[in-house]
Amino acid sequence: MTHDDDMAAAYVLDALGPQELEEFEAHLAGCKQCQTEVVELRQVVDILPLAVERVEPSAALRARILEAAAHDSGEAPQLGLILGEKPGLVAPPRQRSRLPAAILATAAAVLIAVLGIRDLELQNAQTPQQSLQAQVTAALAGGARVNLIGGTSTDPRATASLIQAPHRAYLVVRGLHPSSASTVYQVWYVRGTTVKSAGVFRYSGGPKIVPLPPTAGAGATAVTMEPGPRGSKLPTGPKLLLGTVHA
Amino acid sequence: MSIEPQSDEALIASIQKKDVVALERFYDRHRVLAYALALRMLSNPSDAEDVVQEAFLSVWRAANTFRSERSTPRSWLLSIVHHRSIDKVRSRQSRPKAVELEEGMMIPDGADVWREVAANLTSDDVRTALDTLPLAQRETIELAYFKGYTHIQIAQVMEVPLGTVKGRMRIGLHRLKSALEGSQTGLVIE
Repeated sequence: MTHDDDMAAAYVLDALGPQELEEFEAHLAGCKQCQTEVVELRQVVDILPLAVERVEPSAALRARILEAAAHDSGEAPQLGLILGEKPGLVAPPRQRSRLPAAILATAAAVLIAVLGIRDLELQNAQTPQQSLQAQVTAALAGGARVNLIGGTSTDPRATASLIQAPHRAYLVVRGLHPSSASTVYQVWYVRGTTVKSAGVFRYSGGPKIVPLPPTAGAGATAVTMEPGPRGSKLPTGPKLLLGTVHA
Repeated sequence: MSIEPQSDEALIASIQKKDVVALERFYDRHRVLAYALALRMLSNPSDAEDVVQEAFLSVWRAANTFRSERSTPRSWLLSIVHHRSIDKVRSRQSRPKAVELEEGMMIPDGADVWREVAANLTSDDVRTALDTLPLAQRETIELAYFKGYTHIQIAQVMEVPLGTVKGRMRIGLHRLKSALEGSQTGLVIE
């Protein structure tokens, strides 16, 4: 194509059709003037997004992206990079699991990415939560299924992940409002038209692992706020978390 | 001891090594702008989230193709969001997809004094600068960049010759640059 002073602007604005684009790029390769113009105008185009009104995406998007990255086939997260560079995250080598490093790497990455847990003490459990973290890590290393449970419109900031191990399940929640002295959060398994309580927990902030019974064919899980300390026989409060359970 | 990378470039370097925590921090830093851009272009929250997810995963998978001499990490991410959004816009119109410009694109190296200007710009600066453009130039740029129209479509919509559209794009972008440079006193752009 012949030189056209105006093509660079259309190019940096992505306003060329496929054929024009191909022709212009062929021309651009040998035209210093167009190359200079493209560099100059692209810098202006790059700041156009700043003009947009800021909008927060849903909390679930974050979990989806980080989960996909952690699971990315052929791009397995590396344990050494995820854990080794983070002081306080790794137990001394002699206390580490006998599980292969690559498996632990993926498990740890999933924990960090999907569940938002950073304070992993993988093999040096001291507290109940740390013990549960170790259990969840082992479950993930063993191929446990992870289902993302999203916050409903009642509590859109809340997120959770349901980890299904063979003989146990774990719900890792974050973003709920702290429960009051008179209330608890209650987990429900939904199977067909049957709703069954899976347990209650209190929440004070941050990521929290809640041990649960096996999902046993449940098709969905939900979390509601119920009167404490034992919760309800059937859900009475609004659903705060709700998601499908894939076996 | 701080373990927080201080710059986007440091995060990209960590993402190249498949550090998912770095991706998490990069996401937390840029999610709002990335999503806002996609939503502005697509006007559909679900589609916008799909695009943002694809863009961050592109960063994750292709971080080693990032060239700091050519753009900033934020610009790189937003260009991916933009291209993906255009693809969606144009696929809705049953038209051929845009070329994936962020991959293998020929971007000549050049002086980067502008980067210093861009780093100090605020949203108000950019909006104010856009407001200084003649309406026809502003609309032309917005239809192209935020709506994914080709220059031929813009000519049809605005009922003006194609040459007029291309001229408005070029003159408008140059005016915009001058206006933005003017908003950053103390910096001289050559």
